[in-house]
Amino acid sequence: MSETEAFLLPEIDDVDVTWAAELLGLRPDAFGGPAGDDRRAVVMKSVSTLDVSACPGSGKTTLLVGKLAALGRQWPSTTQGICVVSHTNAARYEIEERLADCPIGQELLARPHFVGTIHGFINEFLAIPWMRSLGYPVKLIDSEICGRIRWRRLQYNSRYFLETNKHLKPGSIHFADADFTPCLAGGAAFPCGPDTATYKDVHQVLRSVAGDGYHCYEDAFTWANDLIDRHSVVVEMMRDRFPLLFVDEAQDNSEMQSALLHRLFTEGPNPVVRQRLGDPNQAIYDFDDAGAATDPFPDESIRIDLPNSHRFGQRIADLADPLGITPYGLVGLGAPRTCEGVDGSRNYIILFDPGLVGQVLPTYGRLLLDTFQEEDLADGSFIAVGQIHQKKDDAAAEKIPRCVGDYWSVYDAGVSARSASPKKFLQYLFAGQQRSAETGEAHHAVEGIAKACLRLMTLMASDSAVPRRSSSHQTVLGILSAKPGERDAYLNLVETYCLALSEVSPAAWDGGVRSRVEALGRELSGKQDLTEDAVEFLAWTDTQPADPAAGVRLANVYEYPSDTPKVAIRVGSIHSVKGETHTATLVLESYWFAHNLEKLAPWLLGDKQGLNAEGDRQAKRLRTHYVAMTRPTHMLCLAMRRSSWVTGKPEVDAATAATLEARGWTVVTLVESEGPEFSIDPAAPA
Amino acid sequence: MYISELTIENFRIFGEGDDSLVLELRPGLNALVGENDSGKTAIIDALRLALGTADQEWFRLEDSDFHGDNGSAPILIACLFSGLTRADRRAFAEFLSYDPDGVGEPVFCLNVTVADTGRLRRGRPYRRIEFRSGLDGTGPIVPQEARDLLRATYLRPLRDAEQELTSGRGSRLSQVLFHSAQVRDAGEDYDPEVDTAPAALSVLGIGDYADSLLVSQTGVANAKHAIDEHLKSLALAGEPVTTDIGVGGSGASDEARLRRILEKLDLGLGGLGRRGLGSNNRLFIACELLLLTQEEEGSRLLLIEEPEAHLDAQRQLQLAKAIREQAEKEHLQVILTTHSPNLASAVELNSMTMIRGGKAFPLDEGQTQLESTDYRFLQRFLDATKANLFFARGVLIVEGDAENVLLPTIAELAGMDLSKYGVSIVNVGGIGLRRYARIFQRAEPSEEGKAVQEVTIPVACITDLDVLPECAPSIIGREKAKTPTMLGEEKLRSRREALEAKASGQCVRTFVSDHWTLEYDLAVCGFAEDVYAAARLAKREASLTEENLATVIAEAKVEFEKLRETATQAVDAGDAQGCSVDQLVATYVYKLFALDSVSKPATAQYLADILRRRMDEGSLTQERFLELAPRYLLDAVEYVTLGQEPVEASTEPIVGVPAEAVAEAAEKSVEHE
Repeated sequence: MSETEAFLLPEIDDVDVTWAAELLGLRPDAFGGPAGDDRRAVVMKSVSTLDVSACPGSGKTTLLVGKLAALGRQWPSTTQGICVVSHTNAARYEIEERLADCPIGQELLARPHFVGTIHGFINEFLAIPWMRSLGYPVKLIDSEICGRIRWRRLQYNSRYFLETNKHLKPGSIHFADADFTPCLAGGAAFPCGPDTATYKDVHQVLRSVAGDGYHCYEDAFTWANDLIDRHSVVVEMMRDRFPLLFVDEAQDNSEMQSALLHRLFTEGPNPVVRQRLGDPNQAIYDFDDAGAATDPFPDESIRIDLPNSHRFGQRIADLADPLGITPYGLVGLGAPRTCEGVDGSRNYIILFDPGLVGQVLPTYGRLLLDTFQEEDLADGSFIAVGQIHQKKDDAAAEKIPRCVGDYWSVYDAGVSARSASPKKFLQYLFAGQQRSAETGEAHHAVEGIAKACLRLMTLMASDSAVPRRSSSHQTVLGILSAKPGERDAYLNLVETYCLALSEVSPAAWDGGVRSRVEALGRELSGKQDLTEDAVEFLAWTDTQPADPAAGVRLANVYEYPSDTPKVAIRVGSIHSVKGETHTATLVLESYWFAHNLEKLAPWLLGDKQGLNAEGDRQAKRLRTHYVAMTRPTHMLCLAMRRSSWVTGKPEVDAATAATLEARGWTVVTLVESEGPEFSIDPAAPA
Repeated sequence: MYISELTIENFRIFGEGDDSLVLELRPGLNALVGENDSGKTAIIDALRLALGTADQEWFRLEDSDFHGDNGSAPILIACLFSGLTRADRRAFAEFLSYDPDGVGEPVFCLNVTVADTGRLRRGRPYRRIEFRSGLDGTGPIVPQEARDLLRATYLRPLRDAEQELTSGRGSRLSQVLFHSAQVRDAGEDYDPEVDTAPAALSVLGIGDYADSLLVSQTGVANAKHAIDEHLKSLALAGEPVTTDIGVGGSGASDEARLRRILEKLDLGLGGLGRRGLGSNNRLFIACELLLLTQEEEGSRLLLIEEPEAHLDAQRQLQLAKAIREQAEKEHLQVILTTHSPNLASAVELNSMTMIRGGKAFPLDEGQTQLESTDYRFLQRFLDATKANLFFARGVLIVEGDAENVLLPTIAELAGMDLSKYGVSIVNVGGIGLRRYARIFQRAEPSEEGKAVQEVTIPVACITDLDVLPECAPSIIGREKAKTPTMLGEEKLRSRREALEAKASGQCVRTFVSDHWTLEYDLAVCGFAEDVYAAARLAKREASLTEENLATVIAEAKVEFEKLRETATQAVDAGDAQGCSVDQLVATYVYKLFALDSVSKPATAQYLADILRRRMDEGSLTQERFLELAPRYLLDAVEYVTLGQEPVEASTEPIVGVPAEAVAEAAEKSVEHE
């Protein structure tokens, strides 16, 4: 192959910009704007390093996909590509959906390009090749399973000591470098000295578990940095391979991620062209740290702002803007699709007595029914989210509402969280069925059940070595290839629950399905005994089976009214709806060191704007709720305790209510003494 | 980058473990040499299966490609790529294996496994093929897009070069030209509005110009008008109809039109009518080389099977040189198989790998017991007449022409036909006997405790003891020559042992003459009269005719009787320094070579004839011959044919030494020390 010459990035001109807009089914001037002055066209055409600060609904992902298509159309190389990394696979899904009929879509998702998560990238290109080269096989990268294995392998004495004296749990021991120097999460120092027996035990367990092929997600960064330390050529190699780097959702980069990307692509001479997109106001970190200190986003010297939201109108823009860390004056250009009779001017605050927490979702349902036409109710997406969706500990009942679950007792945090992996066999199945029902594509459900089977196998035999195939389903079939009977049994399960999408009832589960799955687990693992973990994994979950008449009922979807559902409300965490657009969004009060919305009252009342001198917790609250409040196109609702406004007072006072109304909120109250009924005056001034 | 190591398991003759093939390869030219069915083609086919080829022809796997009878063990082909350039590293970044110590450069290993599932799919056996990276073969899957960069260019043997070079759809010539920037970009496009000189048009422009000329040609235009007239009479009144004559495909894309024009071209050699197969083959190889070197990205691997087909000796040498130079200049890796001693002789020993019974024996420095001076020597002297040693099942290395001429006859009379056993004789012409033998001796493995993988080809070196009978020094005037008495028993033995030890070990053994030289030893053991007759014939070779042949033989017989008489008298008189009559006679016979400069090779040739005739006449039987013939020659012949089955009707002729080479050698034959 010829030696590398300086890579010339394709140029994107106005013709390409128009072409990309039309390819995505948009108006030809979608990126340039009617007057040709939209700054999205500037971003589109730029092939130099820049940071794009994009407000919610600015069409950032569409812009990115359009730009990738325009670049892909003229891409000159089969060995050098575009690298697109983010925290989720949203960009990948978006390319799959928007460019489904166009060969460029497939090309962008394959070599020489990379489109995926930062983690996926680090694993594929650095960590896995290096681990394998060092003789550490890669069977499974899963923090939970790996954490348990490490914990279990500790000698009794060390485990007891760490548990009792140091209050550590499975999943809390990590290593800081390629020598497996023990540390705690986030690199914190290990609580025992290097000469202690516990330290030595932990040290050898960390090494032996890696030697057996089990790794935690965060190990990838340790290995990647070690590879760069040992083989500095990888920096040149990565810059050669990916002369153009896009970082989507750049505001969410942790220090670890940002530092590694900087080291790989931009530090020192010969940096690649890097374009980061994100919204500093929407940063919600997956990690406990406070974001990146190295190479922080956005770099003011190369910053371009996209303040125009195409998602919502100015009313919602005005309500959400003060919660921005640095409010940049959201401009609401309105939703691309309008619902009849709804202009986005009617936004509600539901104020409730804690005893009526169960009435919040029905009230929201009623409001939706009152506001939207039947057709829009059927087509739209209606969401209810809270910052905390799962109780971490048993916070006192007087703190209700503490989490999303308090609003709806059957809520199952395991299924909804897209980033966390399910804890039960059935949750894998339900999540897969849900996505298959949404998309009409069976492979989500098939992969769900196959992943669940492999997980079961790992739980029954933690040392099982499986040659991974292109998909989990293929992997399962591979293991069973010599056993036609068991293979059929597996395929029957797939047929029933993934292709026909039959629902599983508790009676069916306990009456035969579970034992079929257990038999499958025995075949896959080659072990007869169900471990404790396996039994727990196969337990029935609280997720209720669907009403057979209604077809598959989706997990964590609240339907209203319950007897003749007219609207389906998806319930989840704010985290899980990042990047989404909804017709209407309800933001639920929750508890994290304090009641979150209550702490934000001054911002809702217009007394405060931006972060100013507030602390980290308040920053997190602001960012999270800014994300939630910028999702809807037509209607924004908040649900808070009545007592949130004046200290010591159980209810909102008249002056506060007036202020809220003046800012554009319609106040709805649920008062215990008055019963669950409520009324809204449709003629109330907006 | 280049393939530095190729491992093949369970594919055709290659089995598992010790029976698998591990072949080390070098950048540049690698020539695989060896007898038929040794595994050369299996290696090329394994690479085709693993990497795919640029002509996109799929290598179709058959049941018989699986090793062994049950054929259930999966085929594994592992290619280790080293010497990755920056461009290679970036292209395969996600599949690299790194040196754990952080010192060595990253490498890329492609592991291909083919497992027979035992099931049928659409009536055909369903085999699962998997492409994985990693030194242990368990790394991430290497997808098609990445493997496309690895496709090798493959030149099959005896291919129908003529068809490939003639015009027609998808012709190789059109593909070569299509990739040439000159053909694509030079010249102006045709524009009806602009008056461009035809000579200034691009290839595509010429096509478009010709199309427009065609359409407007008078005859065509008139015909169109005539059709229009007829059409008018068939059409309803007021319905305007006209026809339009166009050139088929003129609306196709530029690429398609360009291809179509180029497919009209033939490639020929100037001044020749119909080309021979050899010329076609050369032209074809030239085209492939051009196409390969035009590729900017992707593999630079060229697989060539038996390129010698249809080429005469001179052109084979030229081809080998051209391939070697191209490989160097364009940084190609070439893996070539050959049957041709001619071609093999033009390839540096360093680039050569002997394939024998499913094992690979690279001959480059460090792998054999050859020293670097040996490589220089062999580079100079290993010509086509000696290169047949690479293709033999047994090798006899001899000092001179006489042995070369006589040994086949001796073997035949002893009941072992060398050609049937695939034994080649290498005549080193007096120098470097042991250097040739060392080609077959493997270096000690650097890893401790690892056994050396020996070449299984028996190699016998035949050399002279050069110890004269007591009577000889005075007779032939070499007073200082060694005799048993001069040396003493101890030194005589150690002299023999030293000679044997010089070239022995592994598959190589040295066989030392019992006494002095081939001619003396034959004479002393009972063929003195035959040797004498042969020598007389050789001496009078120039004046020999059909008519006087019998006379010369008769005279020789008389002379020999006289010699014998003289010898008997001398022995009786005690003038023979303790030698026997036979020794003295043999010494007298040898005097012809030593003092009368009778040609040894010519003598050998006559002696062969004489011995064969005696066998036919019945004056010599095989039993008697085996009884009399020098032991060391019989032992050597037995050794190289040992444990071998004779080859029935050899499919590959053992390339003997051409007659003119013998004659030439005979002319300059000199007595060796």
